[in-house]
Amino acid sequence: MEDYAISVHGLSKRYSLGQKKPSHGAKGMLLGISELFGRTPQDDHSTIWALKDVSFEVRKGERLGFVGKNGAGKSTLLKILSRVAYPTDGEARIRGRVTSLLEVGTGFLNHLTGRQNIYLNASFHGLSKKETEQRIPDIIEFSELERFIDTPIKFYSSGMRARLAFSVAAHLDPDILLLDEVLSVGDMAFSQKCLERVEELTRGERTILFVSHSMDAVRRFCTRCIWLDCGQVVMDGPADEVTSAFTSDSMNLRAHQHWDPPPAQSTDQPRLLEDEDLPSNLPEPPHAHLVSTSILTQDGRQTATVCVADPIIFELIYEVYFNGAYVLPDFKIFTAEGILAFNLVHTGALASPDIKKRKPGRYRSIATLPPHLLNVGLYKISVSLTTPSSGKLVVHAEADNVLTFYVHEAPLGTTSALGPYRKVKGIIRPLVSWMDESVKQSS
Amino acid sequence: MATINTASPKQAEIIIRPPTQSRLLDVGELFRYRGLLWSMSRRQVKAEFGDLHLGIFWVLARPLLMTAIFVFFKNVSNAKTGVSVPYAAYLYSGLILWFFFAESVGRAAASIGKDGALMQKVYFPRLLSPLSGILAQLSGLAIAAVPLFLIMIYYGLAPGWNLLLLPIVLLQTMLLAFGTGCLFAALSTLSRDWERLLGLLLYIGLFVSPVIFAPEMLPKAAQGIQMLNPMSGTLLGFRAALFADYALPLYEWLYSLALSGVLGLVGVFAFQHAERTFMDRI
Repeated sequence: MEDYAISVHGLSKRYSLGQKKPSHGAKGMLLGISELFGRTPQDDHSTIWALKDVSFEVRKGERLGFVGKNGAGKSTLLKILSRVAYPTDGEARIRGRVTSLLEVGTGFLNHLTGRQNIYLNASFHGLSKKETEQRIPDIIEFSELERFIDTPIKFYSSGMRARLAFSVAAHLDPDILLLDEVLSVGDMAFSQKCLERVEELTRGERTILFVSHSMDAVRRFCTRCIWLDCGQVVMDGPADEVTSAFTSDSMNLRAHQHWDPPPAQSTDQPRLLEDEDLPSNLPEPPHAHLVSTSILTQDGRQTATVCVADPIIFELIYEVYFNGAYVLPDFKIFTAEGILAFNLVHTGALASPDIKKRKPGRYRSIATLPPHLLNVGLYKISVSLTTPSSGKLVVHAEADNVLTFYVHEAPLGTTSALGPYRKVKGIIRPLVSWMDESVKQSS
Repeated sequence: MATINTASPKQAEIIIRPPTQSRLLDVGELFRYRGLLWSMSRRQVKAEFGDLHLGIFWVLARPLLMTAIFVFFKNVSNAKTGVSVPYAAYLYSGLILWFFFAESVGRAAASIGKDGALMQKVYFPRLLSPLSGILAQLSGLAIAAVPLFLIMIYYGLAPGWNLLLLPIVLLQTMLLAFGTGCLFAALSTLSRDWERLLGLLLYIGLFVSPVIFAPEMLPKAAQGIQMLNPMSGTLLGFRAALFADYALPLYEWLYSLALSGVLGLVGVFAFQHAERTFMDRI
């Protein structure tokens, strides 16, 4: 590929775990000399590979996200690409001007005022005084720190530093922007503003590398995503697929569950019973057992991550033992906190009376949730097979928390109930129609 | 937003490699970053003379007071210096060069400690940090040179053709300060004791280098030994550039120049090495 913006080849980084204490005394001074002119200590038990043999290429204008657990090597990678850390092995090539926003208050000096720090920061990125002067009104306005701009930043709160850092970076007009968790700083309003600014920046020919723990942010801004684990690339592909796979893995998502048949009941021969209307004529429950359950996409694939704007399909396969048994499946949807969101009970009995008298055999029931019902978040499902009766509910089989799935944000440009907000509270998030009109005030 | 083309430090391709495979000294890159070097130096000059209104006084007070005291001692003790120029001019010129050197070394040696936090956040050629510290010291030297001119006028001293040597001698002094400073900057990341040692060396150096005395005052054997000190040739070269009557001790100065070159390389090597290992100790 010729038009790459970043090319990383076999990049590795080793850190020494044991913090080396600066040594004292004459011995320490001499040791210092040997260390300065000697070789670095070689691989031993106290070292860790933060990155190991990482390779990828980023095209110009591509927006690449990085996901992974803490310590997976995402930040180390951005540090190496920002040239504030050296790789131990491998090579990276970058074409274009890079601006990176790694941590809060990137490259600020405490004793300088906000304004002086803007100049300093801009000069690190090669902007002359004149060029900085042209941008300073925009930067200050964006940061909303007019009142404090001539105050030394040692008096700034961490949120204010973050604002200033982001404002400078957002106005440096780089070819390549490296962002590490920056969007999670500051208050909600400012963080929203940053998101908008990143969106604005992504419209240009800019290449963006974005590290975040927010899968929704990655889905929103990135076209492509790399999943790192223990310093190695686990997966590299479209942001949608990679974030789904990562979420499934890290949240212990389960899209499918299968049960072995219980030995005792399944050996029973199905019996024909004369008085089919009376459940009491059937042997003692259970009359059925669970075979498997899954969450499916519209095209029938199993999935544990679903978009808010897509329908969610629950499938339950079960085996009925006796002729004339009345067995209905149901699903309970719980939030991650264990609150019952709702119970999906089978309404088929009303529609088709046949279901009240089943023949022995294997059945498959499917329940489809409409799009825009559940809010973004993690959900668990319990399933059961029951017979509704006038007295106590007869439970033939049940299994708690068998499946776990994650509902994620719709990609940019998709209609959803999110609107211009960053997050909407609540368990459900229906897409409703709004009507607005002006109303004449009565005099 | 209008796109603004920024000329420096634009680069066709940035290549990131392990320290062992990357160049120790990238002069081209340093040149591309000259704008930043300039603004870093200017910031330090401003900090010294901008905010502190007495900045100029402090720069002048030390060499002037010391000159006054030592001229007084010399006059009351009738000591013979054996130099061909008036003692006050000899002494004051020596003091300002020594303080320039000592301050430069000190700034360069403190650069990793001072800019370390910055180095872990933003990229810039790391050598800009000690370099800017030394460049900033030139402003102090320039201010301290004003009384020197007055002294020279008072004694009717004129520079000769040797004045052309002045920039070369100054560059050599800066190179020596840069090498020494970088070396100690590197060493002090490993042990605090090196900082103390540097402080002691710079303090003693003032008295063992030919600042206050002239080499001619020493016995022959001692003269040879004290010429091993790279600042000896430097100080004598500086005076030879300033005063037409003062002969340039060519070999002594060439020795200082050679040693400055060696120390410069050793300093760059040690500094880069220390910076690269220092970066991982976050």
